[in-house]
Amino acid sequence: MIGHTKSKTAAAVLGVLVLVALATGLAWAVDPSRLVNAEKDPNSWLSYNGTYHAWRYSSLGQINRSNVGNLKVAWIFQPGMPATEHGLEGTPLAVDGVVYVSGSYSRVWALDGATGKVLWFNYPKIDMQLKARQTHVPYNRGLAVGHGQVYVGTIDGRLLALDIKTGKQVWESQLVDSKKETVGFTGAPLVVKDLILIGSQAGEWPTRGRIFAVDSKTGKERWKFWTVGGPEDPKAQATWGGDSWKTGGGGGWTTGSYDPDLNLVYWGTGNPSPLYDWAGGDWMTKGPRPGVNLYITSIVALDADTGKLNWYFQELPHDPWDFDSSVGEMLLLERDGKKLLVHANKGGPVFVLDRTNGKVQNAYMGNRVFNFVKGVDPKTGKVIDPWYPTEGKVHPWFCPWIAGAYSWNSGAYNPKAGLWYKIVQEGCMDLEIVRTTPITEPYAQLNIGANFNFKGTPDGPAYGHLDAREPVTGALKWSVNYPVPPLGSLLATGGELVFLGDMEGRVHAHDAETGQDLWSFNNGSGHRGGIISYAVGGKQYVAVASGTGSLVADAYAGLYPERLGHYAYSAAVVVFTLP
Amino acid sequence: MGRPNHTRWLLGAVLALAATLAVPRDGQTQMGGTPAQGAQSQSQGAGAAPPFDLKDEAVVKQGATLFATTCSYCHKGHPGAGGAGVPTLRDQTYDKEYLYRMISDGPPSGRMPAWKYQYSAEQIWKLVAYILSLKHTEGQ
Repeated sequence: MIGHTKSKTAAAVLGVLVLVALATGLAWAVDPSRLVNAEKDPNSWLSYNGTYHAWRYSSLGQINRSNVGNLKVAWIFQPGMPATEHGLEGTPLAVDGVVYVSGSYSRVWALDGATGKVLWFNYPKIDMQLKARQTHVPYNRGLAVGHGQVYVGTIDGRLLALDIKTGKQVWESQLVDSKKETVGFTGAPLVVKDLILIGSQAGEWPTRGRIFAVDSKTGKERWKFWTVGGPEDPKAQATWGGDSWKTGGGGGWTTGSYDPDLNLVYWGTGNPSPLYDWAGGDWMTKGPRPGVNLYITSIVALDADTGKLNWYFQELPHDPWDFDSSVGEMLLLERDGKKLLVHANKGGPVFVLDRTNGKVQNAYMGNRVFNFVKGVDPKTGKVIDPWYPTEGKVHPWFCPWIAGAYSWNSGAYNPKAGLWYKIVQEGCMDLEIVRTTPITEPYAQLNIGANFNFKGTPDGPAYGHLDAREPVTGALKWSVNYPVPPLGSLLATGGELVFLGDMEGRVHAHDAETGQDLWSFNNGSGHRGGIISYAVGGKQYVAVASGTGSLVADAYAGLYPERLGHYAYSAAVVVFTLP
Repeated sequence: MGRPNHTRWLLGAVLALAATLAVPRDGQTQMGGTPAQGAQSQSQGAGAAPPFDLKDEAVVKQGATLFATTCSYCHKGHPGAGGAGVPTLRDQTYDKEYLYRMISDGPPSGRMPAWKYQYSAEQIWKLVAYILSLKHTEGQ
């Protein structure tokens, strides 16, 4: 009884504090418990994938199927140059009426959620000398908020903490020696209790990618997890022949999920380096990195406090195709008393795991056009009859292409409909494998190991589709084709809508149950970033990150000259509401 | 692959120039034993004649390997990239000095790294040899 009274009192005090925070318009009251309960807080959008279980679902229903046709633009924010470089790839956050946006070069803006007025901005100094040596940069894919701070990673290997009220930098933490490793951070951090987690780039760069946790107050590193096993993990190191672990790649540049009950963080790891492998079927003993190569192209479950590996599931052992696991979201679901994790691998297989132990519950292919495997075994989660490319000849019609079936953008899950929405790409390429040597001096540089030509599918031009599936069984409820594969993250809402930004400039609202395209608006540039919903003063808003860019978008420009011939980098946040 | 964006051309040029000027021209070594020539290779590069016959098959092959290591990711060979994408590099007529300068210093837009910080003059010429060979191999 006493405990109950105490907790009631504590709740009341907390409630008053939150009310004070709201009344004074201070968007600082994001504490760990608020993040844990984010789904009960639909007026805000508190983390990259919305909530710890990565549903990208807003329960707000003011905008719904019956009135979505009335949506009007409330305001537009244009970051301008040079934040337009590689488009606007991030997902905005919204906290108590303030919208936070990140753009290229890790530029951050705080905007009034009702008017778009700039409240503050922070343009961090970026090592331009380093930038001139990089190939994929300088895009940024998002932010985290908590502990009165906004967190953003930089391409030169730092994590920054900004004061959420003023935008002033509180601390910076140099986590990666980017002068040597060349790459740094592009993905959104994740706040877990008093830690800020962020995964580094690596992948095709011959370095060893890792996932970091730093202290929210000081920025000091608390733990790191090596995605390429080395001396600290002899068992994992033994899965890399010779010294190949030193240049293995990996990394984890998308954002993980968190289960507070299990205190486990789930993170997808990147592809190995070199990207392709010339050893063909002999990869266990020959080629540039003999062995299964732990923990590349895996889902790792880490103790949130220590970073210690609890379990791992390697989606594609050895991965000689660049079909990594650092794509999309780690979708956390509860079904029949089981705690599940659903993840779509870049190559097309979707894995359903028991997230307490990593055991496979189901697996299915989510794409239509593939030949790198024949399928995936639903019982074991092992891909069936994988095809391994060999050196020295052109392999025509390799499917899917290097852009993958699933790209890094996140899907969305609607708990009322019980449906998971994902964008799928269908395209192939000619692939020629080339034996290469890793370049690590004077600094690391890409190690691709192949030439490739993007093509369509054997049946026609490359295309994309928005699929609605029951995520555990994989049963397809509906599917809508797009002539150019969309590349933005989705939003599902309590108004029974699914929002999607396409590559030709239009943002669409689909009916959550039928897929019917109910509304669209031309934002004037393709979409790479995320869509969120939030509310201010009882009014629901939908904020869309618009503005095309990126290497894959570059490829599309050549592949669809009639639709995208005018392609140019751009960036705008376009916010909609009802009149 | 497409890297258009003429709008930030000027800024990119300034940034690229600033980056170029800011990099110390100290000696650099390459993995594989080929020393980068540092300042020497940078200043004489495009003006100097290539140190070997650019049509030499062995040279072209070495250039192809370098290309598949670091360049193919963006310069995928898809047809029709035209002005919208990163140049496809196939089936086009290039001047060898232009190619050398472009690879060495990067384009004014800053959208491609300045490879002189990574590759020696000899390696850049090998890449030039490979790219010049592409128009002859197109369609094979």
